[in-house]
Amino acid sequence: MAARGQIKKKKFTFINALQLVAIIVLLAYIQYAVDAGRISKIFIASPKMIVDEAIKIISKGILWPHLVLTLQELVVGYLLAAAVGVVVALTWILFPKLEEFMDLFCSAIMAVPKTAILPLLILWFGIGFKSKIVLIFLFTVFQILYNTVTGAKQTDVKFIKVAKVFKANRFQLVFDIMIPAAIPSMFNGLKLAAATALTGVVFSEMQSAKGGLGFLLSEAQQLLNSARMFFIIVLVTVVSVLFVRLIALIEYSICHRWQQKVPHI
Amino acid sequence: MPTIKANKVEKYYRSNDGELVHALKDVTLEIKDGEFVAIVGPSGCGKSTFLEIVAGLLPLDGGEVYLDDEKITDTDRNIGVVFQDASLFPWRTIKKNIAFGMEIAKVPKEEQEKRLKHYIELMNLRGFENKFPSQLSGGMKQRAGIARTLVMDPKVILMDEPFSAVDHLTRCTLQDELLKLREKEKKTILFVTHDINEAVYLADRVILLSPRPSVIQEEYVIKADYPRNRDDEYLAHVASKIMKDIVKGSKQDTIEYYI
Ligand SMILES: Nc1ncnc2c1ncn2[C@@H]1O[C@H](COP(=O)(O)OP(=O)(O)OP(=O)(O)O)[C@@H](O)[C@H]1O
Ligand SMILES: [Mg+2]
Repeated sequence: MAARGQIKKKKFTFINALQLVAIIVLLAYIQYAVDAGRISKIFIASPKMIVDEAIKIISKGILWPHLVLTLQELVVGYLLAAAVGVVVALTWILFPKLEEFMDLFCSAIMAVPKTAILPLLILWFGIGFKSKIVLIFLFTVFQILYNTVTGAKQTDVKFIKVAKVFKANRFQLVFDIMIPAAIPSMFNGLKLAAATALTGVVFSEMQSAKGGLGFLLSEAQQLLNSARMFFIIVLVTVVSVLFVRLIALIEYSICHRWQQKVPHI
Repeated sequence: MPTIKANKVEKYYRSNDGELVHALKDVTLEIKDGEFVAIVGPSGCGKSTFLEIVAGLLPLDGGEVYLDDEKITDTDRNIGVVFQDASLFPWRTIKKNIAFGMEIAKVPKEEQEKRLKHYIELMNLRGFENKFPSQLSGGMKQRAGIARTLVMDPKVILMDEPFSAVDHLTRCTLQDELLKLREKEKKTILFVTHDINEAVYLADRVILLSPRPSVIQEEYVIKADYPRNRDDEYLAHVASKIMKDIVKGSKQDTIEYYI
């Protein structure tokens, strides 16, 4: 959906104008309330303080290494999960017996709240890069795996009939029909995973790390630096949205030529 | 010698609530080499079921079907099927859709190109080769669906309401194209439709299936030469007779219910 929005020119409506006014009023009020001492600076930073803090940590080079570290963890963990998720999905589609066997174990691991096993991961992999990668992997791999497999299972029976009429064998049925049919739901899985991946990174960095945006965030909390906390929250949100958009863009570039245009509702 | 021979075909379905549905009962039918047979009948009587059994897509619960004296137990490259909505793969271009069967059969590339060229020309699909199905009209899609079947050069072509999803004018064009094609390529055709006028205009013989459990209620030999005239009085006469017989068949059914 996000990608479709990019090709369609958006009109600036009356509702949009109202939304903009609401945001400005809210920000202006916060600015006033904080400046006038009605709200403690420890709890809420004013917009100006947040901007000043942002300029400060960017220009002093404080932010950069942490941002890079977080992005590295995000990309490596996500790519690993995407590769493993898609490959395992392929083997399951090709060999349903394998799914029958593995499903129990995958469902069981998927059911464990990932945040609960973080202490264990730290014990095994230390507080650095490795434990973060493993956590992101566990956070996202199952969404990718199950979405892809489900998509293949939901292949339209009429396509399977066509394949049978032309006497396709099992490999041809899987590679020429079920996998292309699964691509849209595979991308749904990849987009869902993109959205959760950053949650995983930031959470684990907050718990225990030597760097990263999550580390910077919990450090700011200890210093009662609310301006920095707000800035990092905004930054993390932006990164998350851009990441999902990037995946949507890849999907669009692969699928848009054959996907039916869904009218905007 | 008949090309297709169905002998006492029986088919049951188990519906979702566990009830046994008797779809086909004792259907016996012979289709001669090169013959064009149309099947009509009330909705849900089992026309598609019969077609899929002949195609080797569905197992049967009694009787047998032969293709040139060989029992049909699975799909066969000599039997092509054209589905109702063309069932083109949305992720393949028109050309790649038409080539699908040849790719599966591992036909050499040069041979593929040769046949593609011929059938794209024949089905008036020039200029649409690199379009995707979602960019085509219903009539164009169905042309591609027919081309996909023809490139494999099957002896028998089964068609399940192939023109039901297109507008009237396109349908008439496609019907005439099909007749010309049949003339040129000498195919045996089994054609399911719910449009009685279409059946009498196209077929050498029309088979009327009764409501469930379906038996062959009537058979009509259409004694008219091709090319036929759409407002031929004789054809109109046969069509109205079929219509009456359908109504009669359904009435008996309801009477049985009420007794
Ligand atoms: N997979 C299935 N499971 C259970 N019942 C089925 C199944 N397929 C078909 N039927 C039933 O068998 C009967 C015959 O179905 P079929 O699709 O062959 O009818 P049809 O004559 O082609 O109908 P239409 O004109 O609507 O296409 C119908 O009552 C249908 O509900
Ligand atoms: Mg049908």
